[in-house]
Amino acid sequence: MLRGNLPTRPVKSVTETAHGESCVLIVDDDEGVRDTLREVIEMIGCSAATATNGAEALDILAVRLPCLIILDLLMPVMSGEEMIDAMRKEPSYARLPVLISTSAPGQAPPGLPVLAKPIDIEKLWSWMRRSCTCLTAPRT
Amino acid sequence: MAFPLCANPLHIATRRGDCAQRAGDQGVPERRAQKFMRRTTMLARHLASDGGSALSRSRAHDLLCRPFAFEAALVAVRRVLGAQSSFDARAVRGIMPRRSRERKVTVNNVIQFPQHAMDSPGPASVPEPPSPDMHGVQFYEEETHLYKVVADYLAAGLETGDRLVAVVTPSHREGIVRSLGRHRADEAMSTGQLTVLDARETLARFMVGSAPDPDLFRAMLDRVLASVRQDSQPRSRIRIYGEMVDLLWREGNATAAIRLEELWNDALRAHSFSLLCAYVMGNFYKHDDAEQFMQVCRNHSHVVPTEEFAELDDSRARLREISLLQQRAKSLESEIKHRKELEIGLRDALRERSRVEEELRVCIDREREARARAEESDAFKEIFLGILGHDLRNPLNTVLTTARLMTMRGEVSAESQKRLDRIVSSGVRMQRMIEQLLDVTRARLADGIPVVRSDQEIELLPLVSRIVDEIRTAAPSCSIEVRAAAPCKLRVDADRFEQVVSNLVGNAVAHGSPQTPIVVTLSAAADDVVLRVHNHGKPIDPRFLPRLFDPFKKGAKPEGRSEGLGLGLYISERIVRTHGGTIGVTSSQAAGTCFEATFPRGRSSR
Repeated sequence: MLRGNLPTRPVKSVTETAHGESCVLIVDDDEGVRDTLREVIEMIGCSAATATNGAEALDILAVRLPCLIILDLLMPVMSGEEMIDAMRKEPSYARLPVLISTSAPGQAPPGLPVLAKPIDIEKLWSWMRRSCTCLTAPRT
Repeated sequence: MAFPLCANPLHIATRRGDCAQRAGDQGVPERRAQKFMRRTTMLARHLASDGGSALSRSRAHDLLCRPFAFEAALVAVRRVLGAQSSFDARAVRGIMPRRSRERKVTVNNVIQFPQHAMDSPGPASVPEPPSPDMHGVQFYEEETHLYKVVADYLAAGLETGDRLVAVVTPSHREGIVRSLGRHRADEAMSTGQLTVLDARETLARFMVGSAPDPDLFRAMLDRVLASVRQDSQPRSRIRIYGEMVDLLWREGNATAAIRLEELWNDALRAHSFSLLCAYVMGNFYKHDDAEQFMQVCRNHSHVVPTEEFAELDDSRARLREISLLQQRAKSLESEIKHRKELEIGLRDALRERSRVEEELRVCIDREREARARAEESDAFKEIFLGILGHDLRNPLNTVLTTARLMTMRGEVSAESQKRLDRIVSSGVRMQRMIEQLLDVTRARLADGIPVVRSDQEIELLPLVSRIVDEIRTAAPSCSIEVRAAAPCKLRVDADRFEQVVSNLVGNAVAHGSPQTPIVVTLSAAADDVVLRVHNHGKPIDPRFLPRLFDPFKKGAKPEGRSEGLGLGLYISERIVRTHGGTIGVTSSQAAGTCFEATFPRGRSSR
């Protein structure tokens, strides 16, 4: 289920500077949510990249694949569901774990795990412990 | 006029020589005058002696074969017998039918001898001689009849040496000439006895705009009369037949026609001539024509009905016809009245119909407005739900998560931690209210509270226990017992079921007596699963009981609720209802308060 290897394709310098070794990609249009999530993730020693909508997230995915995507549903430009549809067309994204983060869990697309807002911090941490290679693999 | 009754009318007539004089005056040739006088006096004698009843049929025919002769005879009779009480007008009438059988009754005899002169019984009270200054009107249906009537009228004038003027339309001129006899007409025209004028041209000479000008009319008439009189005998009469009024009438200018008739009447007072007008009866077939018809009749000294009446042979037939006409007039009048009533009814119905249509239009407009409003409110709902579901929740989530993060990091002092806790508890309360508001908005304005029942049956006890544990944590002083007799499994929306438990137990904690435990019971039956939440304490005011689950009804909201919006029971009821179940409450001081939610196992509405 989890990707053990880092992607092999070349990484854009800008992205590298911006997101570094980020293992979680946070996709949310709300800055507060993005910052809080990043802090929560960083608290257990992981790094996070952020995108404000699906289109931006796809741009980042094109450069580097994270261990986990935390995806909001309602976003301008490209919604979470549209991004999922776009990802399904790309085989290299097929095995990327996606965690839907929403205030309306009932409206989440079926078959995907949901992290209801407001975020249960412990729950997120447990998710990350299960998903992120940077936590499971010995750190370099 | 003062002739004795016994006087021999023949002699009197002869001696006075009235007729001869007249015949002579009018330039009738001597031979014809003699013949004329002979016939006249014979008729006068017969009429005077036995009222004409003794006249043999052949004699009558002989005497009356020509209208002018009959006319002249009657002139003589009336001259002679005018003052005599013994004159029996019926005698004259007695002759008429016989004569009519030979020859149709024509206009001039009737005109020259108006009905009252013939009909008046007893003393013949005809004060004046049959004036040549008569103004007759002939109504007609068929033009052939008109031609005959006019031809007879003119022929009588020809016979008596009158000067004739016919103001006619070209087509009528042709018909009249044909009826009169072309040769005879040509002869009369060549001798100047008959003058034929074109009706339209003559009319144009005195019409100003749409009305006849009196001065121009008089000038026209003076010219015509002067030229007619020019080479005639000084005492010869003038007969005029005119179609100008008919022309005006046909063209729809009835006012001008009536005015022209009046001008003719004025002229008749100034000049001596007799005038015959004719109107096609088709001008007067409408009910509204009656007034104008009457006016036309009033404007004429003699009125002759159409051929339909005039052609009738005997007096009995005429009386019958009059009766018939009277009856017909009556029935037509009532028919018209009836039709008018129908028309009024119809108009009312039409008015009613347009009123209904108007109302319908208003309704449609209103509906359109309502639809527009509904669409507007749909858009509003979308925005409102978006605000509640997304825009308000996101910043609050950030507030709560950040506050919790601070707590977790242990980066604040104990003093600040209390403040942080206040932030979190207020935030949680606000969050709950937003959730409730969102649920209520969905329930009231949108498609209802979304409920997704699980595919598999879920064990309910763990859900109840989890919520109760949460509440125990939040309110440690409360005592809450959970009782479940057997495994209670149900296909249910777990989150929504928990919401119901949370609402009911939360209410029990808020309103129950802290001294007695709150009891939460789950019981499973074959058909349903029942959740009961019981507490002791002050019972619910009975006034609020019927409307407890609908906080939008006036007076439904009990006092002393400050924790939330008071929408919990309403939302719980909606959730249970959406699961196909029911929720109820009993409350009394002795038994305490018990909320009971029943969830059926079978198919639900959703």
